[in-house]
Amino acid sequence: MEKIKATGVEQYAHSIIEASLDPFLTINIEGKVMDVNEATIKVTGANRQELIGADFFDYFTEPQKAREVYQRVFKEGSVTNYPLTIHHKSGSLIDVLFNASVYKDEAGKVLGVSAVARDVTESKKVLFYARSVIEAGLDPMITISPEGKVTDVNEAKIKITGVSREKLIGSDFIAYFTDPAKALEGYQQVFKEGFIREYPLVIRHISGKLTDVLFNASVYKDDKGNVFGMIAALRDITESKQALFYARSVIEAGLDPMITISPEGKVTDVNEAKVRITGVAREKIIGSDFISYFTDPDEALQGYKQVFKEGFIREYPLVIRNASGNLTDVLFNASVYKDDEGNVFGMIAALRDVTAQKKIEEKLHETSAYAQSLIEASLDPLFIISPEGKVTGVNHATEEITGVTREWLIDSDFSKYFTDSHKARDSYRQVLKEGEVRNYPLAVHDASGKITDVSFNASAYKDAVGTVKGIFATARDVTEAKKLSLYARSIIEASRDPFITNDTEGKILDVNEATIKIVGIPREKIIGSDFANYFTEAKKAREAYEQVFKLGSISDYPLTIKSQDGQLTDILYNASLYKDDKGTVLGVTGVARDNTLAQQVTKKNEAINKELRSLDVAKDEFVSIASHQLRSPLTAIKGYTGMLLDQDPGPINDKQREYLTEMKHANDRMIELISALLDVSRVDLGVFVFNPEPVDFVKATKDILVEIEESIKKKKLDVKTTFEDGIPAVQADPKIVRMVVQNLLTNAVKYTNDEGKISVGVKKDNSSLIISVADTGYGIPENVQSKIFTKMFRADNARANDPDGTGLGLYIVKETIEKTGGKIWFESKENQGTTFYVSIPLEGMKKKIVREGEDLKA
Amino acid sequence: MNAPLKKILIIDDDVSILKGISDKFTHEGFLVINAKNGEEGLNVAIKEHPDLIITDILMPKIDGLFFLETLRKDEWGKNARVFIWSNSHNSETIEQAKKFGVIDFLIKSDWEYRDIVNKAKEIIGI
Repeated sequence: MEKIKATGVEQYAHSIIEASLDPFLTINIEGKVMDVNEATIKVTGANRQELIGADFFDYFTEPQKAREVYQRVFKEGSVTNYPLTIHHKSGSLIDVLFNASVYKDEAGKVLGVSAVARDVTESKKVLFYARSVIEAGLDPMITISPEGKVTDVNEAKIKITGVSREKLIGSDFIAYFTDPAKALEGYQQVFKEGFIREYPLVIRHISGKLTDVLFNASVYKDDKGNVFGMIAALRDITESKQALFYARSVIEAGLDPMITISPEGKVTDVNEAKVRITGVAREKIIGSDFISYFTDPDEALQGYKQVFKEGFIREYPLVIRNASGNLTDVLFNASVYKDDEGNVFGMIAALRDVTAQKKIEEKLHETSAYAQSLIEASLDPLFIISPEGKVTGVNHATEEITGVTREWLIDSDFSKYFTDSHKARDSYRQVLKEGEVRNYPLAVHDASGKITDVSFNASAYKDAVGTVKGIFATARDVTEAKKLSLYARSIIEASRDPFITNDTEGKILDVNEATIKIVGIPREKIIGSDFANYFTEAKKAREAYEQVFKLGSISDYPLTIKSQDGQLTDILYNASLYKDDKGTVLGVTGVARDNTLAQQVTKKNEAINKELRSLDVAKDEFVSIASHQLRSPLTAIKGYTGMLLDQDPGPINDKQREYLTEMKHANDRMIELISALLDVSRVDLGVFVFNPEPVDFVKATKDILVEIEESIKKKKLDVKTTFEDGIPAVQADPKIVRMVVQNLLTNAVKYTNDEGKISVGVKKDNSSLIISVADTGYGIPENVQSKIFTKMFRADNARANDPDGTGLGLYIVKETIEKTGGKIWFESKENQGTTFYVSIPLEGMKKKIVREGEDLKA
Repeated sequence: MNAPLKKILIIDDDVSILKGISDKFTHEGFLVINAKNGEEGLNVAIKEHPDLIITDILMPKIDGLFFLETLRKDEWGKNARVFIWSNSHNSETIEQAKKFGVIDFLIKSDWEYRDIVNKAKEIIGI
């Protein structure tokens, strides 16, 4: 950073701002917005002109809270992860974590605040929470209920306390510290302020061993904003970690005079800057009294004591007098460091030169501090890279993701932190060539080999004359996001149907392989293009799309996709809106079901049906003609026999009458058989006669009884009728009714011995009319009861008593009844009798569809 | 004075049947006119104005339905009494015949000749 020239300050700062994916803004001391990036414009819905100069607090749901945070930044120098909610112009709400720090001029005067507001709306919040848990995994982690009970711990926590997980969970959080009161205080602070940072505590292991930790914690909330616990990391700062901490703090503060001081107040180490500022040789400084270099040793002593008392000091103003008598204003910043027993063994202090002599340097430093504050405020790993590809600046997040400390990162080749260094260099070249690169997928590998997928965003920054001085890059960890998106992708890829998500403007956000295949265009070209472009009727596609917005969803909307090579695919478009947790519509997810096959099948089915229908018609015609042709000669025989029996041509003798009667009987049987076969054909083809009209079933039954009266009398049968009152007329085909009742009654007469009984009834229940015909006849043997409705089947006892039957009657009855919505069943015992029941729906007989897509032809 | 004989036109292409039923009607005291198809039947009907027409359906040249359709266009024919006596009885044919205002549709093989005569007498009102 020290390499950046003051002339490029603004461009540099602005490039940093723009490189951030999070809403970024700078605010002046009055709370007015001074600069914003694109993300801020997007999150507020206000344009840059509206934002610049506007009151910063107005963009939050709780302006008072925002104001408090803002004041705290001034008071404390910074705030971290302070939860606020931005309200977008459209009314939607966006939860953010507000991170900010002050920036100052060379005199240390605060000029304003630079702030980043990370969008943590629900899904991201979960991700953030999960990630924070994982990332912090090395340190003892603990989650604590609002009541102060431990609700979860990790292995590191178990190790540091020596207490098993089972015992830790549910126990009092403060019980594991040497100073429970202090732990309680820290704990209360978390719930009061939402977080705590670097709060020093000491954990006592059950063996008595003490561990210095820094307590970092923040509350976590449900989506209603209710705190439902805190998550805390206890960073072990003893031993090697302490050394690392020490080394890092030394280097980080490298520009300023640095000094380490023993508990006795003696200087134990200094850096070059300190040597320069005092004009005293290192050898002489080491071992000397710390306070002796200041114009006011008492004040220096007070500051020094404060460090040991409170653990640190910040921006404590002192004046150094050098060997030649020159005075240097400094700000004294220091903190203690301790050994693993918890004993303070010194302090490390930085003395920031704030005199006018350092003006130029300070100007640079200001730039750097400002930039650094922007950089550090970012939660994403940042890289500042020289035109030669060397890393010139990083933030803490970069150290974490690479596993490499800042001092090793600086001046190293940036590409080596990526799994594909070639690709990383390509992205870099692209920035130099085009000025920026957006969402470039790369993966960072740390020293242990852990790979983190990142989304690389970078822009070049230039000096006043437009020379590229380097690039500024963020590498956002997209591991979790990627996992989620991979999961989402696996779901959409699992679909064999084209899957498309669009934004609210109709631009395609994502597609699956099926879509790529069907349109014949690579994914990169599809993404971002207009949804309607891929259909033969763009207007209709847009209408479908608009309908989703209007109705929330759409189903089976027929569209035709046109592929690049002109191939058309009929689809059924099914889509619905997708929204965020605030109900803001984000776009449309849709599935385009390929309808070609279904249509082909339908067409084929239609063709088959048509063929079958014409075949049926042909068969029906054949049956009609055949029966006509067969019946014509029989009609002639019937006519002539009849006339002879009527003695039209003259008298006949008894023998002639006997023979003619036999001929007539045989002829009638033949006619009956042909008629039955014709009926069977019609029933089988579903083309039987069906002309419904209101039918009085009682009358129909009585009529048949009159018709067969002679045969009843001949067998001296006792016929009893039971007709319920108020039987309504029911829509039915009178010929079918006649055929059914006649069949049942003639069967009852035929298969009952002389002087037997027949009971005929018509009644109704809630939904049907029931006709019953009971006889005391031969009955149907149990072993053939299941076959009684089979075509041409005749039971042996029936055949023995009436050899003339065709075995078609009951088959035709059953088929006809069932095909018009009725039912037939029976109860029978051999040699005791049979009762047949027929039920007809009260709403009437209906022609039932016998083949898909084809109405029964009457 | 005896009332004039009732004139009956029977149209059937089955010569055997036509002869038998004609004999029966003649025997029963009708004046019978025969026609072997619809075309012949139409000519005779319009010329003779019979009291009743009995026609078959399936016939060469002009079939029973076309005979009816044409007959109904004639000034006299539109009110002529007709019943169908046929062995072909699919529902479509019956429906169409009904549209042309036939008195009945009888299945040949189901009826004794004497019953056909009785039916005719009933229609004419003898």
